Amino acid sequence: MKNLKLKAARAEKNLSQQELAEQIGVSRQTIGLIELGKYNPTLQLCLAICKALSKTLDDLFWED
Amino acid sequence: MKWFQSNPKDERVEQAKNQIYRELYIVVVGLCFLSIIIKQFVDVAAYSNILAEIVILLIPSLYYMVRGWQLDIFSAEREMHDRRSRIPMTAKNFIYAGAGGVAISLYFGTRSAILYAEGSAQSISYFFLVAAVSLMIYLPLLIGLAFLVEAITKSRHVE
Repeated sequence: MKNLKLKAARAEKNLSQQELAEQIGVSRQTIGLIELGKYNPTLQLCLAICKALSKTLDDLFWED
Repeated sequence: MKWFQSNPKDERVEQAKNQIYRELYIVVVGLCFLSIIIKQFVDVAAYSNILAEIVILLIPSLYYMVRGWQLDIFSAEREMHDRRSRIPMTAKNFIYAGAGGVAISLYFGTRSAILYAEGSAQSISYFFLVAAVSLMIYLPLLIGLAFLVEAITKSRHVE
């Protein structure tokens, strides 16, 4: 399932996939795949993404 | 100082690489078995020289056992297995060891009967003789190995 919350939070911060990827130390493809729901990130990476986007785990990764 | 700093790694890439290494190991094991089979049935003269294949098959298995013991994955694996299976893993290991011993004995018996015997009477006697001796060697050996695995697993298990 696509992670639209992550995409929206990234857009809110005016960051491209490349910029977010560089901030948290992964490749652009990994961010793309997380947004597409094709890669299941570790908790460590989830936390890094949350910190970079100033969001909580609930905000970005909790499915309603 | 920069030499000592490791580059940040993309976890997805690392996971994908580990997946490839796992598949690679299966390919290597497959090639070793293929090589042994070819040497046995096609290039019979080379069959006596299968030490390299045996080493390639045995050393990684031993390495896996030692590392698995160090990282305590066997007891965790057994716990997960026993949670959803009616037959405990310990019992399964002994059954597989016994079946493996019987299979190896039958294989050696059949092989001796085909390769060395002349006539059907001799084939039958070679088959039973070699199979019985092999059974006496390999059955206790494999069951002993199962005991060893059990002891190793228990030695690291923390309640």
